[in-house]
Amino acid sequence: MVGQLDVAGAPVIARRRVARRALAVVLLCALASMAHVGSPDTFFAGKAGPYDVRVSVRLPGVIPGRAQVTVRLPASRSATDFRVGVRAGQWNVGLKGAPPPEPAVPVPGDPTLFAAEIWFMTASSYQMAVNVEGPSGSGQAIVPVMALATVDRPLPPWLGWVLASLGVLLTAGLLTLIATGVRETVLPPGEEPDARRRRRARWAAAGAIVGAVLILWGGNTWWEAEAESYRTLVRYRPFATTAAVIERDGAPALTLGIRDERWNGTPVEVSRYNALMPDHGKLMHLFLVREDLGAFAHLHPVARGTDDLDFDAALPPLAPGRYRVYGDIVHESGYAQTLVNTVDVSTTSAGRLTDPDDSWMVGEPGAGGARAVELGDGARMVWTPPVAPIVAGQEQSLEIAVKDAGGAVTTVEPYMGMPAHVILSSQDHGVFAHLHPSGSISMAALEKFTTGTTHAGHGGEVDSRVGVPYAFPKAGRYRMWVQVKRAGQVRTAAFDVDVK
Amino acid sequence: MRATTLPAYPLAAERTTSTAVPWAIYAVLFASTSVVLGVIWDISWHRTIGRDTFWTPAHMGIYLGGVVSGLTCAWLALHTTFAGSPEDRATAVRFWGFRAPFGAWVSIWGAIAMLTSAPFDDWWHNAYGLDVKIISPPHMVLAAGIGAIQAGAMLMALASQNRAGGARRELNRLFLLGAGLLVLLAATVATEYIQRWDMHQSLFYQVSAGVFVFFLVSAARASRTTWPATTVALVYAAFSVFMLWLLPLFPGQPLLGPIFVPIDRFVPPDFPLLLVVPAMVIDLVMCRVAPGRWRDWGLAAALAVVFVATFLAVQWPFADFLVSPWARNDFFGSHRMDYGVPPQIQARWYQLNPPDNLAIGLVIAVAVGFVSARLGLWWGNWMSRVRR
Repeated sequence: MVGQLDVAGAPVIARRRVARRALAVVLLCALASMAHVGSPDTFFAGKAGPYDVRVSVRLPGVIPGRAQVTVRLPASRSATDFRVGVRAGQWNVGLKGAPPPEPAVPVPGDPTLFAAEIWFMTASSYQMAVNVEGPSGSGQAIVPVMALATVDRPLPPWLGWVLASLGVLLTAGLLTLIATGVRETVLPPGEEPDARRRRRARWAAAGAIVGAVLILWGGNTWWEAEAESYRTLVRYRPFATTAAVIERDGAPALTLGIRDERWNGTPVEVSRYNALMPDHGKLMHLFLVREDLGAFAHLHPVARGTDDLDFDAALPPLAPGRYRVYGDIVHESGYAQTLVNTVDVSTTSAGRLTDPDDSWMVGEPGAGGARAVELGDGARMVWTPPVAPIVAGQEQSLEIAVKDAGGAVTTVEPYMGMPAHVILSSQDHGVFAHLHPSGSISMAALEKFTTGTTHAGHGGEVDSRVGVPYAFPKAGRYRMWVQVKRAGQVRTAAFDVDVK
Repeated sequence: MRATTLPAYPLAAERTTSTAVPWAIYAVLFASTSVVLGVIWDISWHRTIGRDTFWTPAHMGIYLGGVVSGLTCAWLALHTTFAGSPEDRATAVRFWGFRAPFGAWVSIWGAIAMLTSAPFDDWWHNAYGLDVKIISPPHMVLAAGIGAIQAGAMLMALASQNRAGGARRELNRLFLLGAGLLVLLAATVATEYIQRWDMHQSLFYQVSAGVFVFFLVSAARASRTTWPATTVALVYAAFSVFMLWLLPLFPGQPLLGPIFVPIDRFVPPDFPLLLVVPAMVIDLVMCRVAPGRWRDWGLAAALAVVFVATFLAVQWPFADFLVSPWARNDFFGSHRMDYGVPPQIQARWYQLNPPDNLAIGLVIAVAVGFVSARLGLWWGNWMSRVRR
């Protein structure tokens, strides 16, 4: 049997039954998860040659489907000065196997904004190229995109009524056709059917009712099977995990185990769920968020064995309570996902941390929706919210800076390659996202697709002013933790964000 | 609407009707051809370009067929009901108070089914993704509609032929054309189960026996000419090779990724199955056995055996030929690949899947063929008597 993992675009005719079986295996292995939770869209900020670009990719909800891509060129004063194109290649074929670029057309009324539609055929990891041609030459930005199916769309009631009505009409028509066929079709022209023929027609119609019921029942069963297949094989479903606090070397530790049929410790190279690759040197970035949002930790568990099935991290001195566990991992395919679980922490004692980059925070944001938070070293983290209210679904830049006591913007050290890490959780825990100034993309995937040319680097001081592109997916209150590194210490500030 | 009493209609009039073939038969057959060729074109579109819109030419062909068929038959029903001559009304059947030839009602039903499939399919794409396979519930509603349009065209020609007592050879030819288009549709729907690589496996022969025996046998039983099943198989083959040779003449480029195979021409359907050989044998057997309720059971068994045996005899070695270098040309088209065939499958493009348990599988194929043949005879018997 031919193995066809991470199969291509699934042409209408699967070329052979083995391919169909392989596709089923693929889909089984490729159950879509997403880095982040409840926030599948991609937001990116970077450079396309000489131009600053901000890119958003809004997924269609189902795959195969069409994603809406917007490219913002802040430097553009006249849309006619620029030509923008986007194309996406699946991780295993790259841009060589991508269709021709889709032109991004200027959005009327905003000379900086360009829009395109791009098709994704499989739920997988893609590298999207944004090509910009303008007065200063041409450039290209590479954006890792996770094409995921995330929604389960019910049949709208009105459509249900329309289809039901047409179904009744067709069923009634079918019964009438059968009755008419028996009653009249074989009669010579002009001859009226006799009583016997009419009786036979009624019996035929009665028999047809049984057949119609069977057809409708079979059709409904088939439909339900297809829907179930979509839910289990295509739609977003994270790897199943186990999580527990254990005693290790006399100190509490968190252990997160992957227990999923798609991950048995022997990754298949051609699958998007192939081996894990480190993101800033860590196989997993794990976040603990207490359910009341009053405590937070950013840890880096270490795999217990070479099969990457179990990960352990020493617990920092967190406040007791129930915590949501979010484990970010990235496969060599560039496919990033967030493992989700909960765990009860009952101790505040802590041992030696697993990783020097581990960090945590216990406490609430400043009172009254403070926009400036003391970092404990004399500096303050300042978030400058937009003038207009933040609206769900609308992209904006989360403007953040660290200022000294005099109000001057300071520098920070790169924290795992980034000037800042932003972690967001909605109050109801339906949304969780780990962002950087580059956006919501996986930095490891970006490095893979750009062969390491975009790494922010370690060491040295960088400007602390960052803008993080993002669109909150739904209204409500969010807690935002911003992490920077100063004088070798990770500093975390928390803010509350209200989204209309 | 109140049913009306028909005036007396002399049987002799059956033989004195106009010699012209009713235009509606041509119109519905045109519609039927447009739909089935549109479907094949659409499949090629997905294999070549990958993505589509509502307005692709292939879709237009399908819509055109549905509209022409629906409007033609609706007009026929209205005309026959309200302005038809006594002869028109006498050769029609009643349906919810209206009158029209039975085949017209079947076609109208098909047009409504096609109409129903449109919003259903649109929602399906929104809920479960765009087209990735032929066999899905909304596609089957569409296929039922298309099949009904084709059956309606066939029945309209058949009823006229039967009323003419078999004297109208052009009507019989139109009937066989309709039957051939129906076989083409059935083969298209069953594509995923009857592909080249499976021609040494049981399921291929089971599906073929289940699908094709019914259509070939029913057409042979209802037709009044010699070699009817053979003609139907030739119609199927002719349209298939027409599309096989025509489509690659047009340029096409994938607009959907991942693209594993660079192509610049439309990818055509595969070379047709060699149904013509078992169809000839079916004709030879059937012309020697007169219809009869009990005889038909034995005939069905014989037809199932000869179909599986002859089809196996020709298709098995032909499969070997189709994967040989001799078939990698524009005539046989074995080298044509979709843009999305990944390297693992490209590496096995010219390898047949090995035979499975044929001793059991072929017996099942004969059993399936027996059921298919018996149903085909029953259906053909009825069609041979349809006069309205």
